[in-house]
Parts: sequence; C-alpha cells; structure tokens
Amino acid sequence: MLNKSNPSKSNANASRSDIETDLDAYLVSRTIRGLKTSWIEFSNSDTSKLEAPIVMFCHGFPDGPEAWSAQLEFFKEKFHIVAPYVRGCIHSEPASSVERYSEDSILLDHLEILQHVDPSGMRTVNVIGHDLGVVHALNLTRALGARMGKLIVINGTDTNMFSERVKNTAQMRKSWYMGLMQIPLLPELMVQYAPRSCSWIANEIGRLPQHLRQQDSKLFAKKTLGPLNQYRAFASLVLKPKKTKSVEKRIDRPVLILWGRDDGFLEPPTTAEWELVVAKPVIRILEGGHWVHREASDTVNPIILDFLLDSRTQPLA
Amino acid sequence: MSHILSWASKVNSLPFVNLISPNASRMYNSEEKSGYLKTQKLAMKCASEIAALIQEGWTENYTATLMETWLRDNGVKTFFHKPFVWWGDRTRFNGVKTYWDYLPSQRRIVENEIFILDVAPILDGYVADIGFSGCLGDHPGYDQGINFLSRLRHDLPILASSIQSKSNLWSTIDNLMKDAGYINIHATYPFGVLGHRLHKNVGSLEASFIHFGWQSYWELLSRGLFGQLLNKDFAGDLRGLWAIEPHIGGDDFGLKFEEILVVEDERAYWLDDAPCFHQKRQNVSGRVQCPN
Repeated sequence: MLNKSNPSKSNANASRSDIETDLDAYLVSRTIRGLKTSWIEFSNSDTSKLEAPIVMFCHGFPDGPEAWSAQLEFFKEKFHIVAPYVRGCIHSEPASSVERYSEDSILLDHLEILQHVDPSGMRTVNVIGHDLGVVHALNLTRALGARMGKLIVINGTDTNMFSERVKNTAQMRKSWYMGLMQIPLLPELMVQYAPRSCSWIANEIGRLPQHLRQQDSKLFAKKTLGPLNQYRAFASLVLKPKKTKSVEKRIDRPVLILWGRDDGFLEPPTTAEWELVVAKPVIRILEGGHWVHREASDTVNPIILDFLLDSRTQPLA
Repeated sequence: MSHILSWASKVNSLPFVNLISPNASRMYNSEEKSGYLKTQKLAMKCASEIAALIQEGWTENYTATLMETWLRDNGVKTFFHKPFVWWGDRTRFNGVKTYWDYLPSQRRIVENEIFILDVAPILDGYVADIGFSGCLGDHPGYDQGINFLSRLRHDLPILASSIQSKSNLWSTIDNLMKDAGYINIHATYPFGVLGHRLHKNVGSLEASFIHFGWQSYWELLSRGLFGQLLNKDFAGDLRGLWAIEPHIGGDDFGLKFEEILVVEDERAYWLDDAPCFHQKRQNVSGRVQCPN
C-alpha cells in the first residue's frame, strides 16, 4: 500500500490484514500519561519531512488508521501524515477508567503526539476527522490556535451538535444502538462472542461496500472492545445537560464538511447547525454511505487536496 | 486582634481531634518526604506540560479543565484545591473582589501576557501545592520578575532557618518584595498567607466546595487553623512541611512560585532541589524555554 515506487496503486481491493501489516512499518509508540499510545507517521514529501505541513487523521469508531488507507497513500507525497490509534484501539493501550477516554483526555493525547511529531511547535497542522474522530478533530482545531491550518469533517458531528440532534426523531431512529452501548458488559459480550454479526450490522447500517468490509473478525473485535469506553464517554456527554465549553468560540479556520448521503448512522448536516460551531462552513454532500472516504476515495481525495492547497481558503492570520 | 492571632498560631493541634489530626509541627521521615516529593513532581510536570500547550485564545477555565484532566489521567483522584489559572492582569488579582473572582474565568489569553498556574493534587494521600509562572511571548516585566523570584527562592531556606522570630519571615519577604519595587500580592490572599502547612490525607472521597477539597478544610481547621497558616501574625513553631507561595505584583502583572519547604530543627530546604517553576514561550506558536 505504501510502496514508494508505486504511489498511485489503489488499495481498494487489498486485504485488511495486508494493510495492517503495511501500516505497522510506520508505527510509532510512546508512553503518554502512563499509557502506551501509538500512531502511524510517515511522509514521502519532496520537501524535508520536517518542513511539510502536517495532516492529522482522526478515525472513528469502530475503526483504526487503516480506515484512512486510501487517504494516507494519496496525501503522503505532499504532507507529513499522522494517524493516531485512539485510546484502546489495537496499538494504543486501553485504560481502566472511562474518564481516560473523555474528549479532554484524548485531546491531550493528540496534543502530546503532535509535540513528538513536531517538537518545534511551529508547523501548520491540518486535521481530518471521521465519525467520532470529528469530535477529536474539532477539539484539536480549537486547541491548536495559530498552528491550526484547515479542518475537514467527514460524516461526523461534535458533542453539542449531537445533543441538539437527540431532539430529532429521524436522528434518534438512526441512533438506537447508542442506548445499547451504555449497558455495562453487554456490548463487550456481543462483540466478543459474535464479532462477525456485529461487524455485519455496522457495515450494513453504514452502507459499506462488500469489498471494503473487515474480513478479520478478531481485528474488528480489537478495534471495538478497547475503544468502547470512548463511545460511552461520548454518549454520556451528549446526554448530559449542555456543558459550556469555555474555549469554544466559533472556529474561524477554513472548514470543509464532506458527507456521504446514504449514512445510516447520521442524518445529513445542515448549514444552520454547523454555523453555530464554524464561522464559514462549506458543506458538500456526496454519493456514498457513512464511510464515503473509503468507498469513493477517488472523488473524496482530490476534493480534500484542492481544499488544502487552495490559497483562497488559507487560514486567517 | 494581632496578639490573639499570634497566640492562636502557636496551637498546632486540638484536644481529642488530635487523635486523627496529629500535630504537623514535627520532623518528617524519608518515606513521608518521598511521598510528598512524588506528588510535587507530578504537579510540576502537569503545569510545565500544560504551559507548553497553551495557545492564544485559551480561557482560564479551559486550561484549568485540561490540568485537572492531565492529573486525573495520572492517578490523582482528589485535590487539596483544583487548578487555579490566571491570565494577564488577573495574575495580580486586578478585578478580584470576592472569593469567586479567584476562580478560573472565561478570560482568553493573548500574546505577550503572563500567566500563573496553581494546583494542589493529592496522590496516595500526599498533598503538594505548586505555583508556576509563564509568559506567552514577551512581557517587559517578566524576566526581571522571574530573576527576583529565583533569588528569593535561593534565599528563602536560609531566611527560614536563620530568622530568630519566625513571625519575621513573612515581614522579611514582604520587605524584600517592596525594596525590589513589587507589590506583595500574597498579602491579599485569604488570611494573607505566604504559605500553609501540608498534611497527609486519609480520605479519598471526592467532594469540594469553592474549588477546595473537603480535605483542605478538614486538615487545616481540625488543627486550629492559625498554626497552619504562615501569615504576618504567625508566631508558632515553623518545623514541618510548608507550601510556600511568594507572589509579587508589577504594574499589570503578577508572578509567583509555590513549592514545598522542609523546616527541620537545624535547617530548612526545598523538598525538590531544582524544579523549573517558570517557562517562557519564545513566540506564541513556538517552543518553550525552561532555563533550569
């Protein structure tokens, strides 16, 4: 996949285990606040690795950095790629408490990863998030200040936005499983003893094409069981009375929202809801499901690249 | 009134209650000191790491939340007090009129402002209370203020062990600050404390009132309060562990450090030899500079 001699080679039909093996070659691990934390990091950029702008990929649930394989391949020529494994996911050690999966904890993980990647703290960081990774991507955008470049959102929302969506009947019909996830031990037992069925359900709802589906049910279980508490932390935040997040003012960075129209998990976005969070959101609805960046990478990647390189949408000074 | 407070400061334990809150004016063994040191190092690491992450636009509240998250991720379950964070002129308590005004606010930091982080976590029962100063860019008063505090930090153990009347320690520090052209900001703290005693806490139940854990109220009040606070009326026995927090003020800024001072029969010394209590960012989006 990451073969430097053949960068245009498509990954669409590569087996999942091949991709995992390939990514392992670029695996970096550090102990962050007592827990092993890992990420994928590489760059084939012509410019020095230490000068290329950073693109940080925040994956969703239940996913890992391999969900970005088509993007990692595509963007490695121009950018310094960083794709963290969220807490509990495969190479990032799980924690015993749900609090360690909170959005603030994961934000600190990501900020510390960036300190390892860019000790100078001077380089521009662009962030791309999908699904639950959008929560982390938005938090990073707010925290990075002047270092933040551009944000790309793919089929995901933040916690406050989702709190509002809870009032939407159509959204709640799509989020029936969230209550199930809160029951202690039940989701763990389901994933442990019926990983194939759970994987099938998730892929069916998300409308993931057959050829992209996870074949290795053990790997699916590993990507699901560890980060389950992240999901619980997210759901409990959404259901709590709205907490004022003091750092939150509207994001003034350029933000592109890409959305697979046939997402079985999330209702399509509205400009109104995004304008509460982002000063000037640009929304593009695409053909595809929840994992539109995987099934339509040939469409999604050039859109993202144009957005990242477009001088008209450079970050405000 | 001053005489009464001076008399009260000699009381270090209360009848009956002293069975569970024993006199803290004593020598501490190496095991105890290593427990306090471990907590202090963790708190300092938290402050220096969060200080390195602060970006223009962060609010005091947000930064305090991240400090608390950082410490909880590292095993802290309860606090003597939760993080205080002050930006800009709030570091000299401009606009602070009530106790609630000390709490982290929605104020956003801007380039070239000074900041103070102050937190007191409890780890395995051992309390540390630290103060950390920094600057997000350049401020004309910062370097000189830090130099003064560094000299004060060097001299303070010598003063604590040599001054005959312990009540003079507060006044001596006060005079040094004024001679250097600074305002004594800690004189405006509740009870005007330069420092307070630290105690090992037994309870791990979490409950707090106005940012302070129940442990702080209990440990201080159950020992008579005034013997636990190093203010200008203090006339008691200085032996024991103290969180010392000199806080100076300039025209539009304040700076402080806070760490544990060990006072024994013959000498006084900082529990940690050389913690870095200050950090200056070379530029707003740049790396930090930690001279120590």
